[in-house]
Amino acid sequence: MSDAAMLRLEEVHSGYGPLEVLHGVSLEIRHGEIVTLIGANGAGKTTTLNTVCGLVPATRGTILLDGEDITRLQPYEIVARGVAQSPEGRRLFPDMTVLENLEMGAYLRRDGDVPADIEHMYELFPILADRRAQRAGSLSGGEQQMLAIARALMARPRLLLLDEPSLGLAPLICRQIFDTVAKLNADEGVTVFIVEQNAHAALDLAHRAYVLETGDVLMSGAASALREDPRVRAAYLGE
Amino acid sequence: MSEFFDWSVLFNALTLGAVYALIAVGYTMVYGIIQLINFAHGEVFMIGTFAGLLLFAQLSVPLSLAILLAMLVCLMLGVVIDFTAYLPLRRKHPLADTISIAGLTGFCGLAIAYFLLARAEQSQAAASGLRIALGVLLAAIPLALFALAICGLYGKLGRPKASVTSDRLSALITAIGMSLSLQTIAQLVWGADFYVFPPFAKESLAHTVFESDVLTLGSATLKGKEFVIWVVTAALMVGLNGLVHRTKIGKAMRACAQDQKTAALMGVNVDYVIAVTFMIGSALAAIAGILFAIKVGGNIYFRMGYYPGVIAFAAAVLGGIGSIRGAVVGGLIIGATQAVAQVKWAEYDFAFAFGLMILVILFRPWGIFGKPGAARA
Repeated sequence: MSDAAMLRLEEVHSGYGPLEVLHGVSLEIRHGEIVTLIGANGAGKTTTLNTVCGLVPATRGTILLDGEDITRLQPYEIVARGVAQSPEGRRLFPDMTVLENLEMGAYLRRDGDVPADIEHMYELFPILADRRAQRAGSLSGGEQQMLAIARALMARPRLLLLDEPSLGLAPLICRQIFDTVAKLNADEGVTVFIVEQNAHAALDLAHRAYVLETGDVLMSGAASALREDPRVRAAYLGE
Repeated sequence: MSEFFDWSVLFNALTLGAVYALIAVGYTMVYGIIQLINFAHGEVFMIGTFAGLLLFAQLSVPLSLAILLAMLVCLMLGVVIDFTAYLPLRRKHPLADTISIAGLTGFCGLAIAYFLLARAEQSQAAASGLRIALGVLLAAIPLALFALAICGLYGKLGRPKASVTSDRLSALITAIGMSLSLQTIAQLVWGADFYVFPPFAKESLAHTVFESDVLTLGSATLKGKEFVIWVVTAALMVGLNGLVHRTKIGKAMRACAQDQKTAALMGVNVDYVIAVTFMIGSALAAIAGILFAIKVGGNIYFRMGYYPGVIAFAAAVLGGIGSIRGAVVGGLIIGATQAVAQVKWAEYDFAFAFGLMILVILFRPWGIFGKPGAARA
């Protein structure tokens, strides 16, 4: 694990029109880390990810990816620099097949390894292999989440952004998805930034964590330390 | 045989249907991707026909090449329309907005100058160099806008400020304005006269292909020009289907139609994909216009895009707006309705076509292949 920050947000403000959601968020993610951003509904977690991806323009502040300023880039230019997101609510292309969704994930890739990577995704998520010719809209919630993550991985990202991967899933499926993320990080060195409401699972998975409250970073630190923090336990772990 | 059926009715139905299908595809693809009814599409059909006529009749370009060049002209026109009229409704981009306004204003000014000069010259026999210069400038502005649009799409004009969500009413009114502007410009340049596609020279290839009798059934004869429309339409639709389902850009188009934001997260340059959609639809409108003009033998004038445009729009709604398959089936159904109506009530053929559209909107607003809830046209 190197010390250099892969992604750094400096005092980032962003929002929708006159409504500012992030009031100066600063955080950093280092190479090879799993970092989680936890917080209540409406704290600005999804907005943070979408600001990084360029879907929501930052009004102030700077976003650096490996030292390069990506604050004003278009989403497709940010994806081209190795950032992939599995968005909240899966957001699959419902009328396209599982295979076509995976191909869309590799949209910007020009190398010849795409078919091999698709096979790799089928190994990682065997259920997707059985469903490959099925419409993505016909999959169950858990299958859709796996496809959303697999689709993001098809970009061969350096930085994988996961937005609420556990949303609406049975605990067992959720466990399985988190295990896969941990394995991807350990075996393939993918850096992961994960946004979660399920703070228990997220803090178990992550190395470090940030707590976001109404558009501001409230606390940050090692995941193990935050798990023991009385304020976090009271507010987010329900203890 | 019944009084409504004659083989000629079937031939006519398929021919009209094919032309409507070619136009309707342009409406439906653009709607599918940006939920905009591009009312200027009928004018693209008109300008494509004029371009083909000019190239073929005045510059003596071979017909097949004239058709290809007219398609290219319309392909660029489609991008210019999107860039000047519709892109500013999707993205706040001060530079692009300024270019659009300056470009359109300059173009309209030139068109008016051209018109005044043409009228003044009618008394003098000499062709003026000034008029030719104005004509060249008239052509140069859209070309420059096209080049700028392509640069803009690749982020070479600087960054857009923000996405704007314009309401559908503004977009609709913009589309109608674009349609009227193009009509007026065409009227300034070509006047209000009716032009005719000149008859093909005897012994020429075009004459052999278009004027020969392909098939005779009963009292009806299938002309080569009708048969060409069927074959060309079928081939283009098969090609389009392949493009949309098998190629990367086609998949990106479908992805954008389903979820633009997520498509952007896959690395798709959404504005570029939208521009390509305009290109394809506009090129298809150009070939539809030329083939139709050859078939009917005339009626080329600045308002010629209006009825075919509106009917093709009805066909797109009937088939389920956003669905390419629907546009083809809708076009054929409307074509058939009109062909049957023409047997006895020729003056009312449009009324039948629109009556059918009204019935569809009343009872199945999402059309044949659309999905309930998706139709908010």
